[in-house]
Amino acid sequence: MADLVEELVELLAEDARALDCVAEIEGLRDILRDGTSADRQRRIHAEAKAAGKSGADAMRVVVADLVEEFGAGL
Amino acid sequence: MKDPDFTIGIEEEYLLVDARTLDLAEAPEGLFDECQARLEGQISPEFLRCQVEVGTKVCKGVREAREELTALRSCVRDVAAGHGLAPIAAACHPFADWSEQAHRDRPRYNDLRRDLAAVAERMLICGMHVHVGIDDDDLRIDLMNQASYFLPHLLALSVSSPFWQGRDTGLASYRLTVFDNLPRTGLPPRLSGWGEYTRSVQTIVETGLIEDSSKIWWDLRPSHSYPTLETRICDVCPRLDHTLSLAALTQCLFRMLWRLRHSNRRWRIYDTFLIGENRWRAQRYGPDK
Repeated sequence: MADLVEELVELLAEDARALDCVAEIEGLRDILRDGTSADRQRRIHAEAKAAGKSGADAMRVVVADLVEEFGAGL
Repeated sequence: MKDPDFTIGIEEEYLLVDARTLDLAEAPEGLFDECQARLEGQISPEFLRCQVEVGTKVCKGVREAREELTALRSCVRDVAAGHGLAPIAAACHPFADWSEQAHRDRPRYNDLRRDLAAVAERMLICGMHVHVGIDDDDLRIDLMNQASYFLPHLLALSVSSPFWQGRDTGLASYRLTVFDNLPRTGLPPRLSGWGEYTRSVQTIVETGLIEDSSKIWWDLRPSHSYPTLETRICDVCPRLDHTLSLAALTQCLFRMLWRLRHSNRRWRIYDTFLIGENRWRAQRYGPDK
């Protein structure tokens, strides 16, 4: 989907300038670079399991990270 | 025809967890009273007791929406902390059991529970909705028809629900499989104009099955309450920056489609069957395939 996002950024450049949201439209690339939340949750779960946590405890690590992300940038 | 102002409004749904155990937790009524005292009318309870909904005011653009959402998220976080709770913005809680959740005892929610039975009780899911201001009724329908093509793109970039009841579902957005159990959901139908839309809604209303169009839950719909188109397909995003990028994408897409119309062009109308396939792939894989 990286190509598609690049196409969207280009297609919408004029609109992003008119609506004063160039940084946010270019920020779509960050979602692909860092991974979606689904990707990140799976990554954190796998890392917690690899570190020796049980399946249930690894899920709690995922929720702890979601709590952290909620407040990021506030 | 008056040019649209493309104002935006963003609604997010959150889940509350116990700050210590991270289990899903019910919101005490006092929490809403405190939130109301700080940001009147912008933070409200939801069908399930563990859920909170926030909504920005009408914003000129994403810059203003950022200020609004920052204040709303901060308020919910700070007030929840006073009750030993914390909010999360994920479309599903990774390990909670929907059958153990209590719903709120209010007439509207009791009606939903009666009408929708177990389907309503399973709605332990959170979405993010973006309203874009487009005053003209027929223009809203014209842009809705064309914008359907982009709904899977919005979903793919928002996915935040891989886990359900302690299991990896294999999907990137399990939320949508739960939401699709409701009636009147999915991609919007193709409509010839505002007249056809209102006639269709009136047909169902006159049967007495629903009281108004607020119970039509398409992925993209004309709002019942405002002169806006409302995207409803996105999972709620944990990160504020991602929410705002998706809101900007939504706003820009509608302006782009309006711009095409101004130069006597339009986005190709694809068969709903084909867009549905993209929708499934976004739900299953997110942006990966």
